[in-house]
Amino acid sequence: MSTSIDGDSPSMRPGPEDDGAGDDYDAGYDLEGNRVGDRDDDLGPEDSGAVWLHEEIQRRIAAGRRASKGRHSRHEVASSTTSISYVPRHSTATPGPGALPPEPVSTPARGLPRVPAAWSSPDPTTRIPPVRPTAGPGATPDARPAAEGPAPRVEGHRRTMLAGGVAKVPVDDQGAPPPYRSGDLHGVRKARLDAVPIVPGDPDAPDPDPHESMDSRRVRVVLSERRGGARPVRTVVDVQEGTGVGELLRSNLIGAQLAVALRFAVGTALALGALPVLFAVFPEIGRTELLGLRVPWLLLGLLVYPFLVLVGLWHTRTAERVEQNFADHVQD
Amino acid sequence: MNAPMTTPALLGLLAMLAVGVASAIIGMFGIRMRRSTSDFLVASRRVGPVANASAISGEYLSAAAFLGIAASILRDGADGLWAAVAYVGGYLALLLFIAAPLRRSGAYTVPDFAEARLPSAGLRRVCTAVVLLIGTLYLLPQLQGAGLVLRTVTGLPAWSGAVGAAVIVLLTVIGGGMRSITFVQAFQFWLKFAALAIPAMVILSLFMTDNRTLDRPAPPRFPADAVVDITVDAKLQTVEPVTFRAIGVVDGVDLPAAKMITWEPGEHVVARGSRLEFDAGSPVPAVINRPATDQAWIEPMSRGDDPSQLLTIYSTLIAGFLGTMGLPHVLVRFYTNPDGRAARRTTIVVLAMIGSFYVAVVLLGAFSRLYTPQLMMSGSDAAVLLLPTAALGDNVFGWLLAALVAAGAAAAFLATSSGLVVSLAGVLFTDVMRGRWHHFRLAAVLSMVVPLALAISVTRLDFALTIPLVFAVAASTFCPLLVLGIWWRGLTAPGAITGVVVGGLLSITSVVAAMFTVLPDNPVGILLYRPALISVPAAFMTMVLVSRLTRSKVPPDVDRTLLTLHAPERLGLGSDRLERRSPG
Repeated sequence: MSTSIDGDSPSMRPGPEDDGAGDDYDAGYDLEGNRVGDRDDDLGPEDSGAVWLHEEIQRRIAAGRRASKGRHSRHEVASSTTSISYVPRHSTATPGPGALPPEPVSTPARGLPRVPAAWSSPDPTTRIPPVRPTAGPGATPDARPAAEGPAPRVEGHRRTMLAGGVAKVPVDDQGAPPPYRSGDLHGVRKARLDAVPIVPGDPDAPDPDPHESMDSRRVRVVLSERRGGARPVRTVVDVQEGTGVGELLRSNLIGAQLAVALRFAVGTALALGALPVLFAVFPEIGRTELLGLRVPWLLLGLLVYPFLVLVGLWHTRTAERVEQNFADHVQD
Repeated sequence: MNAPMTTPALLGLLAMLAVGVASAIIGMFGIRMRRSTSDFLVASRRVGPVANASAISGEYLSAAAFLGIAASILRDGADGLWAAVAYVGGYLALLLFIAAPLRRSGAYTVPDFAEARLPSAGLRRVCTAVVLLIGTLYLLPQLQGAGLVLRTVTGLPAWSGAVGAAVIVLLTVIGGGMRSITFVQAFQFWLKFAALAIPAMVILSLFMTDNRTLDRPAPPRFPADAVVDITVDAKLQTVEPVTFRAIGVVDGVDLPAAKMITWEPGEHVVARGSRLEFDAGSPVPAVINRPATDQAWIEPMSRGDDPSQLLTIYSTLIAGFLGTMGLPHVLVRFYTNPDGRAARRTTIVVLAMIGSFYVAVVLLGAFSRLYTPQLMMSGSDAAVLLLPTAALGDNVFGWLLAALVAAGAAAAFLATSSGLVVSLAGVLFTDVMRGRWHHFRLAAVLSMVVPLALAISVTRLDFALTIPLVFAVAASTFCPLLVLGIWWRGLTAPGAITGVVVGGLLSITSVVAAMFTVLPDNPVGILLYRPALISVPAAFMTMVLVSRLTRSKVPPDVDRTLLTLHAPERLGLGSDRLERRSPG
């Protein structure tokens, strides 16, 4: 369940697909696939790569599915992988004010070889910190990430998250989060915990020490056992894990954004950088008047500022479209 | 002007005090809304986008920067316009390359970002040192600017302005923390904007009804009898013979008593501490290599096709475009955005805000050539402050406008200084002192000590010189680190450290050279004054090369870190990398 983004999707994509998914992954997928294609067509020439990308993703997913006996076999794979670390959600209230945060929890995955299966270590899912400081009451609802990630890490790490590592907030009272977000988050977390079926094999007893649970036991993060409600999104896991599809999506996102940024930067640099040379080579530009002003003064004193704002606006629109594209692929 | 507290001086002083008191009150009011340390430091990210954009602009638009830009327009004319373009354009570069990813990194300062991206204690220490260096270098002109404003407006000694500004800034920072700082700075932006836009409009309408022109093939003339105090050794040039009274050392001749001198067209040297008295109507000598006649002033490339002028312009542009993102107080502000999307949008609002502000500055700078040409020779930085009374006459209307400009300047140096102190104190507090909450106040005081001591003891240089230098240092150190860190997965900690050190050393060398020596007017001297053209590419190349050589040190989870920086938050793909940091 931790990979589902159902809690947030309505704000991003209102539409039938939110409730229509259910358990039927394949049907849902095809349906989504068509929709993505349509959207890409609407986006115009800038996104011409998206269709290709989508096909490539389909291909890789199909290959992955053949290899790993389909989606319902995933958690078998998960239980057979080793050294999966996961903090049970009961550790929510564990680390005391002076305790070390369960840092190793997140590190083991680092040195690990990537598990080639479609589903690998559930570790990253534990890292989806559902509650960022961002997600205060004033934050936009969709700023809260795939919220059902097992909540536990949140409380223990509040000290570093809140101030971004600048201030180690002494968390004196683990049970009482800061007043400004208590109601909201606790409500959310509680509701989600209730919705989770008890997982067989889950270390049920509250484990006070995350380090202990980490190496010895694993918890399956349930994908297949989740019923009804939301559509689990597999690509999210893929992207986080760097499996074939994920790697493709990730490098595609960063490459596309870099290309956009460089395009705008080079364009602006050429437009502005050419001016001093032009002024030097053609001194008559400096003697020409336009609208009662000398051209250099008109350009550099006035028009350059709206120009910069427009470039900024245009870039933001383009960059957000790239992100939207990425989000569509990840969720479909 | 040196008479003790005339009416305009009193008005100006009152206006500046009012700004200080208003800022302190808004700051105090913010205390009530503060509940935890995170509130104190980063405003809980609950600041609205327009308020946040106002605060960013308020913090960014420093008195030193806009006084310096007006001054360079007064002296350089069309070529001086580039400085303003560079400072505003910095926000475009910031928007294109780092706004959203930086926000998504969850980093609050550059050392935070560095550690999130490349886990290396050494890199964090280097970044901490560079933040302290840039912050101190940038606080120095701010405090000196406060001294300049107070002395120009009231005649009080310059040190009292620096000390007064330091005390007010510390009170605001200690009292309110970041959240109230946000409101204080938003207020200060709008105050600054009004304080420059209203005089600009008034003088513009005056200029339109006047039949004076700035397009004459002759040098500007003193509008009234003028006394010019030379504060740094100056080389001047005149295109018409000019006769004046002088005390001091002129053209190498010691003149202990006032003596009439006539300069023939050509170059002349005046030593520091000299005093020149001109009669109304005599032509104003210009600083060497600056346009002497109004016609040369109004046209770009006043030095013809002299390559050193192109060098100056391009180096200024690079420093401005790439240096803005490295200023410590600018980065902190992005943390107060709720997410990466909001960070981008805020940046666009900021671009619009500071763009409109600089249009007003450009107008004031251009009019100062008409109404206060005596400042071309020395003390150009005071042009904006003296313009209202010069243009409108020595009457109540002129005094009120002058008081408004003084208030705007006061708001500007308070805003920038408090932003700088907050970020310097934040770095001192987490990386150097590792203290608890109440130590933040101590950190704030500590971060003010060195710049204040320097501001009082070091001779003030023209802002048009010092501000671009600080931008050059930021552009040669943090810009490569941020840009490569965000976009290139091959960056390694050793590469980042060497790059920052190389860029920092190159740019600091030129800062020291510019501060303590007079540099020759050839390409080498110009590159020392404006090192960005060399030091920025050098830092980038060092970073890439050393990273390539130490390829094995690429962090194993680099892909996940980069994903955090680039994926939209709503997908929940990013793991807050900072979470994994050890508590120490």
